[in-house]
Amino acid sequence: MLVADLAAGLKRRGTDMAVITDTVGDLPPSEVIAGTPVYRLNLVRALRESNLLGTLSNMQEITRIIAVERPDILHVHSATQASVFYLDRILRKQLSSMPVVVTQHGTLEEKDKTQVTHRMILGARMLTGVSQAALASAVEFTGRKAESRRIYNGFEMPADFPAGRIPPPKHRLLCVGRMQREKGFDIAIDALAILRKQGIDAQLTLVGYGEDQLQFESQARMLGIGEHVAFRGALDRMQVRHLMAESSILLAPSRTREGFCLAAAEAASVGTPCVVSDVGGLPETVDHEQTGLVVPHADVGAVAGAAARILSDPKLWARLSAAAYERARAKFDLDRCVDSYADAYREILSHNETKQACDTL
Amino acid sequence: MRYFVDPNRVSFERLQDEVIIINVATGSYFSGSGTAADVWTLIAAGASFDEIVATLAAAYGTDDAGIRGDLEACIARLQDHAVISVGEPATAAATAALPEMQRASWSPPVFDEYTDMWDLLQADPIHDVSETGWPYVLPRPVS
Repeated sequence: MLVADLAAGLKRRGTDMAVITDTVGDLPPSEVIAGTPVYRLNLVRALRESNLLGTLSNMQEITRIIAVERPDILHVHSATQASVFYLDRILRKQLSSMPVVVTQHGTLEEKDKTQVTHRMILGARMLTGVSQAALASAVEFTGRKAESRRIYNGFEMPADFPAGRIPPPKHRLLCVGRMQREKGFDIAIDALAILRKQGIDAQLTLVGYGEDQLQFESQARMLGIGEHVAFRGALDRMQVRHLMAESSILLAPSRTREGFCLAAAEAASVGTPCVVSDVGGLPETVDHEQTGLVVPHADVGAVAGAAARILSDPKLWARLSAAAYERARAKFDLDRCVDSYADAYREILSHNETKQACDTL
Repeated sequence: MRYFVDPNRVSFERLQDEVIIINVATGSYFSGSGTAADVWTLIAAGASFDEIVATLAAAYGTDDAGIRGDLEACIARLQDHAVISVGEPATAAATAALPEMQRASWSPPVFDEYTDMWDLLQADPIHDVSETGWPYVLPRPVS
């Protein structure tokens, strides 16, 4: 979603973007969405299936698209994805002078530290991270000394959610994200069980889908709280925001890899306090004790304790809610994010022009 | 001296001036363009070392001496990575030929190595698409 929002915002500022991405479902191989050309290729599938002709064809097609679009800058969203193989090949073969921006969206773990990722991060004209944690992990991995900066993800602030919420009449906990253990939703379910044992009548709603959903459903049943855990599947953005605005707390008890938690930032923007774990960029989306609570990761007791504290103290809830609302709107506004990328592009192009002028002297 | 490319261990493909080779046993990818693609084409076609040198010298309009040293280094690296070995080729064309195409001047053939491609493939996120057609990483909202 960031790229879609970014493309729209940059277009309003006079910068055009073209997108090369993976094929998805039955979507056409190319189309123009809101004035932005989108090219879809079987990038990862060709590599996964060791389809060498497909891989080589993709390289040719990317080269052709670059020749047609004639970009001033290549912007790679995440160097920890298989598609960077193609770009690495093309850059090494024929576009070594093309300025590249790499935005690191997640914190790098050991398994992410591959040769291509290293080369892409180190060779980028500019490295950006969606959080200080994501940026720091990329810098630490590569020892990069060149230009790098943190640019928080941004989103359109919802206009129809006014400040000054009061605590919801029922204790509703919410998790939004992919249904996988990495996201720690099993921890949220365990925490709900603890809360209910303590006599706190809370409900938990999980939004999203993924490979571990059946396991989570089974976990809730085995704990005897199946009727208090709702699995809503994938919802559209407005539905999610309304759910957030009806919830008491958003829980983001992730175990690993979080570069930036957009769910926590969006929840804050509608005045919902968050309890997040202390991994990656999560603590940057919550100002501990001011807009929510940061707890040790993989600590069910800490999640339950933090939730119980907020739920049982309406004054604390209201204080966290109001501060979360203000902070999210100040820090995570889409315009601020788009301006930061536009500035980065401008600086790179201006540096290029200066360098070309010097080279010709 | 000729080279054996084990079809059970190694698969490869060339498209225009780019070649990709996979050592299936190790999961390593090797990719090269220009002179590297030509060197591989000749090795895979079963040409001998001297035949490769002669064919490249003719194709690039240069003398044998420079090519010989570059070729030795390139072949040594491919051997180090168990992509080829000295031996009778699995298939040998009567005459090994290069595809007709425009060539730049001779430069030492280089195969870039990607020895951890499986790790990179594991790192790739799963994508889905929104109602507006934009691909995005599950779930929504994305983190």
